[in-house]
Amino acid sequence: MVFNSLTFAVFFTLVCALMALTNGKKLQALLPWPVNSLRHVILLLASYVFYGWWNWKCCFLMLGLTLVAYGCAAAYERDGKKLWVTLGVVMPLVILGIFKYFNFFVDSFCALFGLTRAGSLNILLPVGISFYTFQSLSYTIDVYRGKIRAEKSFVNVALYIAFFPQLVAGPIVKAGEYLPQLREDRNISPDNLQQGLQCFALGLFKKAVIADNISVFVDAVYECPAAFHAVTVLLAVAAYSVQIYCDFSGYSDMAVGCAKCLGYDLPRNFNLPYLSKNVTEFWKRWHISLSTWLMEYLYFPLGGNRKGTARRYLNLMLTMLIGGLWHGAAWTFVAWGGLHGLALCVHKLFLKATQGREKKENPFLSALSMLATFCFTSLCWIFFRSGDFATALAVFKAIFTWQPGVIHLSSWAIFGLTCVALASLAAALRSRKRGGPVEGFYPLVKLSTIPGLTVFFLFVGLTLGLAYTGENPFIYFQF
Amino acid sequence: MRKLFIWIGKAAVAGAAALLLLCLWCSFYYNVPIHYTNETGATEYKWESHKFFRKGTEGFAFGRTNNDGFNNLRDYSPGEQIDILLMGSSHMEGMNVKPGENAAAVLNRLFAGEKYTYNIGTSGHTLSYCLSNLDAALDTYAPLGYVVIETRTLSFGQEELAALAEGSVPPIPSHTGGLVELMQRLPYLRLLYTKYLNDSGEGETDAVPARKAVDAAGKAALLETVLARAAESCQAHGVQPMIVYDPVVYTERNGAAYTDTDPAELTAMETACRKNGILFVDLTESYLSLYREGHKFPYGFANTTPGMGHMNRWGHERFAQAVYDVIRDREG
Repeated sequence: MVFNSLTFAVFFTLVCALMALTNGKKLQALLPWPVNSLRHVILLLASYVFYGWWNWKCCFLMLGLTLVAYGCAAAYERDGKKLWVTLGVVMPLVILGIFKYFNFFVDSFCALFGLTRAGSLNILLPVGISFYTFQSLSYTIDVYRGKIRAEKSFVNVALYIAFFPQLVAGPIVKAGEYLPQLREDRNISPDNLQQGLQCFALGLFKKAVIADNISVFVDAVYECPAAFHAVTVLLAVAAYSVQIYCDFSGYSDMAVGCAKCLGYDLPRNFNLPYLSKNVTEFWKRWHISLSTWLMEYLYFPLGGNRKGTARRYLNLMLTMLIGGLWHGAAWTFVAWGGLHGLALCVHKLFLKATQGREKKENPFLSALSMLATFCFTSLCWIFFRSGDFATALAVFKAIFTWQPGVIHLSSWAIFGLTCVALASLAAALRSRKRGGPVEGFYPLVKLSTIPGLTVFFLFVGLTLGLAYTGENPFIYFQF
Repeated sequence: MRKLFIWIGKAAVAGAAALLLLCLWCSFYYNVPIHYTNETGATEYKWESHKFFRKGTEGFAFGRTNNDGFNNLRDYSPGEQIDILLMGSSHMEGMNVKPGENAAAVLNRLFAGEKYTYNIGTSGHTLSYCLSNLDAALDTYAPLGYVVIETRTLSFGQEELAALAEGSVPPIPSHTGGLVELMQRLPYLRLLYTKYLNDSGEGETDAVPARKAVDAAGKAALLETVLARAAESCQAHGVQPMIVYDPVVYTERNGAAYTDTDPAELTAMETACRKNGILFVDLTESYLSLYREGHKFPYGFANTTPGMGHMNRWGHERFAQAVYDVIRDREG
């Protein structure tokens, strides 16, 4: 079940209707337990239905991970033995390793030593496994660190791991951010619906109109880079930057919107990443929930920047390489992570070298830095998008040899680039007016007025009219 | 409860206003005339006459149908001299290119007044429909020289050919009158219908899906029968038939171009045409060279998958040039 489907629309309407019923005073008076518990059970069941729609067997895997996290955290709090935490961390990682990386590592090992492999492990990669594994780890580690208390209610832990709006593609929510919300009286309300529906609509536009329409062009170029002129390939490379941004941030917006409708707040996952002036800033604006997760649960435990300069860079590289591998079991993802790691190290070195110098804001230099960062990240996406190094090489070759071929200036690519540029400009102007750093925002209207409703319906109508209607799954589902 | 009713009222007003604005936008983005059953039988249906059309979902062209409901620069006067009658699918219809860029317009430019080409290419009119409507088309327009039929596929099912031989090709219905017609007049609803219920915008193609040849010999015999009947009809009307095959060009990973033409089907068509005195023009080489030498695809637009979709201006140019060359060669 994907957000941009009729099935989801029906499913979500039913969930909302059920949740709205729990607002009834008469029902609340009849219940022998707090109404919040009933709401959590409804949401938990809905989340398992949502997940089981892909493959019901995967629900058992998620349930198993939840039992591990719940049991280990509770046992650690009771006994104070580190063994429980070790188990709570190692077991999910082993499960993730088997499902996602086993074949990859065996294949790589065989290739390295020239061995012939007898056969591969034919297992299904459960959708969103990387996301909910990280969430279960977050819960166990946060309990160990004393940031949160182990949750007594199994339903609450299960809901934290399985909450359907963010289950399969994030944002990765930390236990400390979500569990406290379950203790509050949160549910559907006109205000929540008003905000949630608009966030969802914005996400749908990004995904169905921009990302999906661009994908048609990008897919064709990456399928056969040798056929296209360098200009076309360059446009496809830039367009992919927009595609992956709109695809993933669109999903995040839809997730935030769904959660908001149900009364819950999910963290921001993107904040105008292509306005970053350097790679360090890019990672503070791109997939924020993953970068903060990696920083808190990987980079810091590795020693962060506390163990000397050499270790700092090593830790950075390791974090980014693992971050790359998290995206997929392929060396192209490792290369993508490695390039970002290198760029982060170079940027840190640059900052160190220029420390103490007076820095004056220069709009021209700022624009140039943004452009350079965009170019760098776009070139890195080539590894991310290419299925193999041969394709990536063909794309680079086409660009750097100024290859002749078909010139196809995709109007959707130009439209997407323009939309992102205009949205970024609007956010920059708004932030300048308010004073402070450039922040993304949701342009919300009041759905209680006729003009507000007209704008909203018009936007939804345009989204439906311009949406790509072919099959196109969310890019981050595979991770 | 009262608040809810007030909100529903506001939503209804806002919904109507939004629909109006969306229709206005669609008038310039996706606006296709309504089609009516063609009483002459020259085609299954024809568009409203003198109607503005725009298909922003594929290409950015716009134009206007003529008084006869087809995509021609000139209006049609009954009895006027037509030298070449163009029949075919939506590729020939050419609503995705500018009015002056479709094959008929290019042919008229190439012949510079010497011969007049009239285009009755209509969406959905595969070779089966064109052959089925051929008699009526020749009766209606009485071309003096040639009737050119475009086909994007050479792959025909046995049932399809049998239906054609028996004269039982199922008609393409036109839904007009009442609420259906009213809804078709709202361009935004038309767009949604095309996108979600009928077909996805880009995916719309008249190509008949490839079918497995069950009985190759039987099919070849049926094809010959069908073409023999078409040739007879043309002879009776004193015109020379011509079938033009315009294949899709695909690219391999190394950039090499190819078409998915089945050599056996191509040979069958060539043989059947030759036996019946029908001129057969295969655009394969012309389209492949367009890609190899000019780095251009004969199909597709800036807002479609590269190389996919309807015939673009280069495709129309090559098509018209090939027809022109064959006629010139023949007439000396």
